[in-house]
Parts: sequence; structure tokens; C-alpha cells
Amino acid sequence: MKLAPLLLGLLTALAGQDPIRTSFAVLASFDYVEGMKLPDEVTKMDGKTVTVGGFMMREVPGGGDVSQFLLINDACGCTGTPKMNEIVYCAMPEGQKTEIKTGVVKVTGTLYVGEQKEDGIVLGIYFMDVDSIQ
Amino acid sequence: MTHSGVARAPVPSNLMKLQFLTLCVLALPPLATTSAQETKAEDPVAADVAKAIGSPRLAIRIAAGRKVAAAGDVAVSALRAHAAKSGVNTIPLTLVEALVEGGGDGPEMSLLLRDWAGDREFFWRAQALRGLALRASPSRAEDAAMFTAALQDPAWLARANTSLGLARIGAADEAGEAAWRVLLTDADPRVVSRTAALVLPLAPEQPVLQALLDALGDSRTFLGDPWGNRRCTEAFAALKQWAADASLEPRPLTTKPTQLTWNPGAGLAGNRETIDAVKALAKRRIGAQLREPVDLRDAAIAFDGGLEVFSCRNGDLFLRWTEAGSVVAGIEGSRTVELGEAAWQPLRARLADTKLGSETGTVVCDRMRLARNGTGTQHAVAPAMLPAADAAWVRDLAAALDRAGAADLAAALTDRLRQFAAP
Repeated sequence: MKLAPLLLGLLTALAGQDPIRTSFAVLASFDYVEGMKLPDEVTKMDGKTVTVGGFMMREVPGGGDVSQFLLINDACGCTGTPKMNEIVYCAMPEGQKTEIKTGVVKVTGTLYVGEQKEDGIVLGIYFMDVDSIQ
Repeated sequence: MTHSGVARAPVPSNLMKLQFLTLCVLALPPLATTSAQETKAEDPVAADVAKAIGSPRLAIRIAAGRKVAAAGDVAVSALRAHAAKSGVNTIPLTLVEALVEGGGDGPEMSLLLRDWAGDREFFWRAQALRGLALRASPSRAEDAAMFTAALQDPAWLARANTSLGLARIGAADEAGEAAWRVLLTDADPRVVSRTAALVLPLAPEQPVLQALLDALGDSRTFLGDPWGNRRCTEAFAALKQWAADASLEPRPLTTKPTQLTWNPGAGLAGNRETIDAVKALAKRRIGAQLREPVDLRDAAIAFDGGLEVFSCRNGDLFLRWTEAGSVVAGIEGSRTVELGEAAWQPLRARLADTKLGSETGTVVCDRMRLARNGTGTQHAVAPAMLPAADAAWVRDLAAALDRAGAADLAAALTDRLRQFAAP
């Protein structure tokens, strides 16, 4: 009978690991300005497992499988440069690559929220370590 | 390399950096690369152009593009030299938009944008047209003919962007009406909302506000693409800015201007206060009675597959079909053509045999997207890359549409196919 609380705990823990479902409607719901305090709606997802729907895009035009890609909210990315809060920079697990899938995908992984800079340039504000792409 | 490393320790080790740079150099397509060696220490603007085009990091390309734009006319010769050497379509959207926004209004930059806006083969000609529009005014209306011609452009974004140019120069049609107004009744809803968003600061009038309010109710999709949601976001951003502009009030405000908020995903019902606030503002500011927006949702049709053509050159085309052979045309699905079981089933069966991968060719802007037989599998094809067997399938679909009485649709599909069929 002592197994029951353990089982319950395990189930609760598993339930707690359900990814947070979010969307670009939330991620891009504010006017991003460099150096700003990001809204709680997005910072509360920092470090959490999150699922986001969007379109995969190569960071560099080309072909073949990729270890990193951009997730954006525009089917072709050709109607305008995505704003900083309209891009999730996605990295595949170490040593893994993926094809760039056509159409909407749901990407699940650990989301990191906050400005990342290189040489003083903001590279992005959303980064994800990808667990799965569906 | 995962982002857990990037996020917590942004600077990778030198070895990783070297590996990354090596991979990036190898991954760069030859045409999109301008050798930094050729330009280093010779011309700083040319070096920035090279970085804005060839850097493997999107953010670096954007930042370098801003530096190029800030150079204004001085940058134009480097840009033209790159285009002459590597082809104009190797110039990325990020750089074109940087020039559009921040390239200044010098004569060389205007000439460059004019050349690009008039180049049918240039992927980003609609953006270049917006650049000309931003530089236009009643006393600077030399591009009026180009703006007027763009009202008939097959590319939706060119039509929408020309509204800004026409509004800025104050162009009128034969009836004396603002020339851009016709775009508020364009068949493509994307044109209507983009036009309204662009002209709202210049013409905060009832039809413009109504178009934006209507777009707030849009949640329609096409083969999974939430294009209606993008219209909603765009419309809300424009309305929010308009609401916050106290200078539009008939009398000085004693309180802060209205700050509109939007709850994404809550639909019209969940954003009642915002809709009421927009209607109240419109009444107070211009005496307009705006109609209540309606929920614009996808029709309850189980689509089996579809075909979408995004073409900045020739205009977009949208087709979806059911398992039984009903072909629904248009991004809104406003027209249905019944092919009939006998004509459709052999075609449908052949589609299952396609050897297309997820991506065929290097898709930059123009592309064909094919969704196959209820499998969820989708394929993107770059111009001139559609294999003969698949091109024959599209041709046969066009013939079936023609036989079903949709000659215009068949002709449009055949026309778009020319851009994508492999030679």
C-alpha cells in the first residue's frame, strides 16, 4: 500500500512536466525594444518545457539537414523580416540533425527567454533546446 | 551545441567557435557569399554589405544591414556591385528592409529602390516599392505612375504597399476619390488589412478603421498556416497606435490616451472591452459608427490536401481539395469546383506516388507548397525545381479544373506552373 503515494507522486511529477503550450500570439504580443524588461507572460516560461507551433526556416539559405533552425510565424518568411520576438532560435540535441519540414510544426523543448548578445548585438530573445518536432 | 550552453555561457570555446565557423562557411551557398577577403580593409561599406549578405547569423545580418543603410547613398555602389556579380536575388530581405527603413532619401538610394521595385524578377520588389512610398510626398511624386500601376500588381504585398505611396502623394482616381481606397475592397483579405494598417496614420477614416476592426475577428488558416491570426495581430498593432495618439482627439484629453490591450487566442468574445473601446474612440474622434466585427473562422471542411503558390513575381494561388474531389480555391476558400469522383480519384491516386522531399531546391521566397492526401506530409518546391512527373500532375489538375468549368482557375494554375516546372 505504500506504493500508492509513490505512484501518486510520480503521476503528479509527470503531470507537472507537461509542456506549456504557447504560440507566437503570446511570444510576439508586445513591442520589443532592445534592453527592455520582457513581459512576465514570456519570462515565466524561461527554462520551462514549452511547445510552440510555427514554421521552420533555415538561418542560412541552402539545403540539407540542420542542427539549428529558426521557428517563425510566417509560412514563407518573405513578407517581412521577423521581429526579434517573432523568432525562436532552435538547437537540436547534441549530434542530431533534422530536415527543414514544410508546413506548420509543433516544436517542444526547453525555452530560454532573455536577450543573448554577441559583440554587443542582440542575437535573439527566445532560444530553445529541442526535444521533439511534430 | 544546445542553447542551454548558449543561454548560460554565450561565448563558446574557441574550438567550438572554429568548428561552427567552418560549418557555416561550408553551408553558405556560393551565390549568397561575398568573400570577406575581397573586401576587407578596402571598403568598410562593402565589408558591411558582405556581412549583411553572408553572415551565418540572422541577427548579425540584420545589424550589418542597418550599418549599410546608415551609409545611405555611399552604400549604393557596393550594393550594385554585389548584385552585378552575384545576382540581385542574393540580396536578402533583411538588407532590403534595412535600406527601405533607414537608407535615407538620397538620389542614389531612391534610384536603387526604383530599379528594384520595377524589377519583376527581384524577390523583394514589393518591399522596395514600400521604400519608395516612404520617401514620397505631394512635392515628391515622381513615382506616382509606378504606384498607380502597382494597384494591378499580381503580388498582394505590392498592391498593399503601393497604398502608402498613393496616400502620401495624395493621388486621386478619376472620380476624385483617394486612389488607394480601391484596395480596401481587394479580393485578398491580406491586402485589405495591410492597406488599412499602412494608411491609418494618414487617413483615420471609417472604412479604414472598419477594415482593421473586422480583421480582429480573423482566425482562418490555410493548410495550417494561421494567416488570419497574422491579420488580427497586424490590425491590433495599428489600432493600438491610433488609440494612443492623443493628437487625434477633438478636444484635449484630461486623462491618458486609451491603451488598448489584446488577449491572444481569446477571440472577439474575450476581447470585448477592446472592441468597445475602438468603437467608442471612432465615434468620438470622427463620428463613425463602426459595425460589430464577426468571427472569421475556417469552414468545417475536411481537406485531404492542397496546393499553395507563393509568388512575389506572379501572385499567389491557393487550392485545397477534399477526398471526394471538391476543389476549394482562394485563401479564404471562397469558391468551390466539383471535379467529380471519376476525374478526381485517378489524380488523387497519382499524387501518392510523388517522390518530392520536404524541400526541393533552395526556397528563398517564391515557392510551391503541396500537401498530400491526408497524410499531413507537405512539400516545398523552389522555382524551376518541380520534377517532370509532379509538373505533369499539376498540369492534369489544371485540365480537370478546365473540364469542370473553371477555365480561369485552370489558366492561373498553368501560368503559375511555368515558374516552378523544371526546365
